[in-house]
Amino acid sequence: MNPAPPSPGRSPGRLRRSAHTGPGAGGGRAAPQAPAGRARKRLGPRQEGGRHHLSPSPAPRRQHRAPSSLTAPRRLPGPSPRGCRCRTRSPRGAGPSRGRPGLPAGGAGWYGPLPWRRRRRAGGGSGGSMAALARLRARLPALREECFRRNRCVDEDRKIKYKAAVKIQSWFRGCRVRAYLRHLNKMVICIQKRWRGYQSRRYFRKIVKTAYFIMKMNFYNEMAVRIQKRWRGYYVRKYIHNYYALKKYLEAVSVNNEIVRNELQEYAEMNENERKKKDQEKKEKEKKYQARKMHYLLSTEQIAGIYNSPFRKSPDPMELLLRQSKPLSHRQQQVKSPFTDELYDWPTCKRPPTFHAGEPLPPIGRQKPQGPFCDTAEVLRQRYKPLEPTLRVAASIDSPLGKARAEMKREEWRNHIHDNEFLPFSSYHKNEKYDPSIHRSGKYGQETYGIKHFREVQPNKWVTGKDFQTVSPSIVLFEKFGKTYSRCGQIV
Amino acid sequence: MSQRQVLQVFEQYQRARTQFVQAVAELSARPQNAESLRSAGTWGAVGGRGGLWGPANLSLWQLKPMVFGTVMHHQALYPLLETNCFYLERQKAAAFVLRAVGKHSPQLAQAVVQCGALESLVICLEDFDPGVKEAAAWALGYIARHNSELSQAVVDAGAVPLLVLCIQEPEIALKRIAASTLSDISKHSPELAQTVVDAGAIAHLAQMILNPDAKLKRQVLSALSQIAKHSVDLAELVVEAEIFPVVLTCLKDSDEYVKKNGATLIREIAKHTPELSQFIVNAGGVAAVIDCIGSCRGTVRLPGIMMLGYVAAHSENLSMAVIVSKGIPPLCTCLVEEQEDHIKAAAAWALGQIGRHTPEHARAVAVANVLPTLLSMYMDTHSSEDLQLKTKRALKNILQKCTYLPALEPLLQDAPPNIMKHIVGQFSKVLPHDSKARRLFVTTGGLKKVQEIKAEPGSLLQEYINTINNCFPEEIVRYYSPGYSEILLERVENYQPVL
Repeated sequence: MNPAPPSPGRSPGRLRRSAHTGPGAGGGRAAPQAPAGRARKRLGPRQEGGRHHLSPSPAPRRQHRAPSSLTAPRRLPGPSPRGCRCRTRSPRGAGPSRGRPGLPAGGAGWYGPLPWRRRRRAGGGSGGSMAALARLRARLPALREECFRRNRCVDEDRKIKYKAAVKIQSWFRGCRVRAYLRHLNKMVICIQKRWRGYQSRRYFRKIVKTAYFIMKMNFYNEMAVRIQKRWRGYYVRKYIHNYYALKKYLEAVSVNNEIVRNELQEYAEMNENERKKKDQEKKEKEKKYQARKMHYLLSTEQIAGIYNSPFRKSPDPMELLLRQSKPLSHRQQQVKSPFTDELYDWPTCKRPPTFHAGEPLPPIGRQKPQGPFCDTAEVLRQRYKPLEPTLRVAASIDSPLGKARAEMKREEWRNHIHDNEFLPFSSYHKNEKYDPSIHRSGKYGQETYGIKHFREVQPNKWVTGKDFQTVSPSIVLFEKFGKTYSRCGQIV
Repeated sequence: MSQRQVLQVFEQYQRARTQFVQAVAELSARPQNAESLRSAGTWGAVGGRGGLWGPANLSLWQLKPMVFGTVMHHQALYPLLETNCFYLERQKAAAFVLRAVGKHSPQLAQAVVQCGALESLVICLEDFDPGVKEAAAWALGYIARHNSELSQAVVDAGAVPLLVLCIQEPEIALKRIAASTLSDISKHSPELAQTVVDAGAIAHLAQMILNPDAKLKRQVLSALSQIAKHSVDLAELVVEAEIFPVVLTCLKDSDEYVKKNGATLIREIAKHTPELSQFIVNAGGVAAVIDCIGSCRGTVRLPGIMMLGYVAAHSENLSMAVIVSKGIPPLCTCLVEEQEDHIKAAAAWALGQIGRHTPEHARAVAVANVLPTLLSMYMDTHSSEDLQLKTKRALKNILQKCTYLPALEPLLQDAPPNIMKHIVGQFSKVLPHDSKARRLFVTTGGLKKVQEIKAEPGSLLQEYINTINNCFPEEIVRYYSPGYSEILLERVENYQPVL
């Protein structure tokens, strides 16, 4: 990378510098892009995770540093490299300049003018004498030619060198960045390895713990089931479904049933016997009564009765009974009232009402009331005397034929008009009022009994709105029950 | 001459009066005449104070008290009560009329209550004459019988304490009717029964169970059962009155109704809780009831049968106690003997309750040869719907527990599919575990019957049949399947003899 033949007017330092710095700046700008792209390719899809936080960091840093340290490219006088550089760089530089617009422009403006002015002043201060000037003027066209040629030569050479420098630098920097990325990848893998291992180990430990816990619980449950099984079996067998107790109980029940059955049988037999005895007694009584009633069939000394046939060896048992029994007295038999049957069909009233006429209550140490009163028994008899209609009242005078005729007449009278109501209009009869019989239609006719109040009622003087209970206080007499009265309600 | 004329007129009057009342009585015997009689003012004519209705013609009045009962004119009741307070017989007759009125329908009884008859009747209950008390109690009973509102009205009138006093009277008839009235009052609701209990009726009623009079016993037992039927508490109160060994004697009574009411009382107590049932079993009640069922016919059996069912339904031990007490044979005879469907249904239900607990119970029922009877009743088209339902449930209950195969086999012949399902199910449960039973099953022709059953593929029945078929070698199954002989013959035809 030797520079082209040095030019007298301008110091080679400038050129060198520009040659050094020009591509340096260009490489500085270009380098991060290319290796980054290449690194990206090399990392590939495998390190997608690592690339994400590694790649952006070197690129902006490099771009940032480049304008601050390398200021040359603005001071190059030649238009072509400048234009060329501008043209070639612009698409790449557009990225940073678009990303951070203030930084490269501001940096160049600040460092740019200072060295430029100082060098111009130094160049102006080294002029010779007038002769020299004339000589120089004479050589001027040749010099110009020379200058132009040399410049072009140098320019061409510079271009080649510049390209070579860029190539070298790009290779070197690419190597460096790739090495760096390789290093980073290695580091990342290391970190990830550690972390993932740690996490998995943690998870594994957790799973092992759970499995152990489940195993333990299963074991405990099994043991608990064993214990509970034994205990429950024991408990139920002993206290709930005790087979022997049940057996014993059922045996006891059947024994008990036997006893109960026997007892009940005895009871039923006893009842039966009692009933039989009662029946027999009743029959006996009947027989005795019959004997008393038929006492007239008793045989006399002279004439044998029907039960005492002379052709028999011994008299009929009835004859013996007749001998023992006493004839019935000739007292009046009680006449049965014809009306009582239907009314008194409940148990206490089996017989017709006798009205106590036969035997009045004995006088309880009281004087006979003064006055011309009838005998009490007589009065009672009068009061409860059954209806004894005369024959004419009881029986009809008419012959049956007459009755039938009268009945037919009535029948005819009843039936010659039909009973159906005459309904002139459908709604007419609704408003029709029943016209009552004469008995009920009079002005002072029958009051509706019980609907009207007989006493004056003053509800405002009432103590309560409710009716009084009529029950409990009215039984004063019952407190004397058993003290003054016997059980049957008769006076002691 | 003039005296005779006067007499004649009066006699005529008397005769006409008698005739009139007779005619009205006859007319009033028909209910459809009641309205026209009422509107024609009959009451005014017959019962008015100034009319024919005087103390003198009391016996005429007694002629047909039903006149007033059916005339339904409740104006009548007031003059009745008022004019009749003076004479005992009339009080009695008035009460009789009220009874006759109140007996027919709740509306009439309501009318009696509305015109204030209850107060008078309650006053009559305080009377000294037992006849009057009795009449009043009877009228109250007829009023209270209809519904709970009327009963409540009777209770509100304060009749219950007086009725309890009436029970303690010495007259049997009065006791009887008071007990019947208490029964009528307490039958409607737990509250009314509680009122009767609060008046201390139970102790007195319980004492009278041993009374020799059969009709009194009927009423007493009925009253106790009406009290006990409502709730557990009331039943326990009844039990606490120490009725228990005593009430069993009623089941041996010569009177049918005493038996029936006694069995009803035991049933009403037993149905509440297992404890009460157990108590009855311990007292030997089940044996007594079983004897009672065996010794009578017809509806008298019904409460006893139901009592056995209730006891057996409570728990398996109680059911076993019923079995041990030899309860199944009488129930079977009930099932066979009785004519009426509802008694049969009750017996079937009771048997189902006895057999549904464990295989042991089911076996006890099945041994008694009940299942074919039940099945025939279920299949019988003449039996009522209720009977069919009950027999079906009983069959299902018993069959689901039954493992006694000899009893199940006869049923395979003619059971309908819904019963067949259970029978075959039992076979399929037992046969895989019992080799002797398998052998018997083949020899008695059960397997053949099973092969003949037509079951829809995929149904439960088909599954059971498959389970059974899997218990036997394939040849036997094939041998017994229908149509196998023809297949064999076909094979004979197609066979090429080797020469």
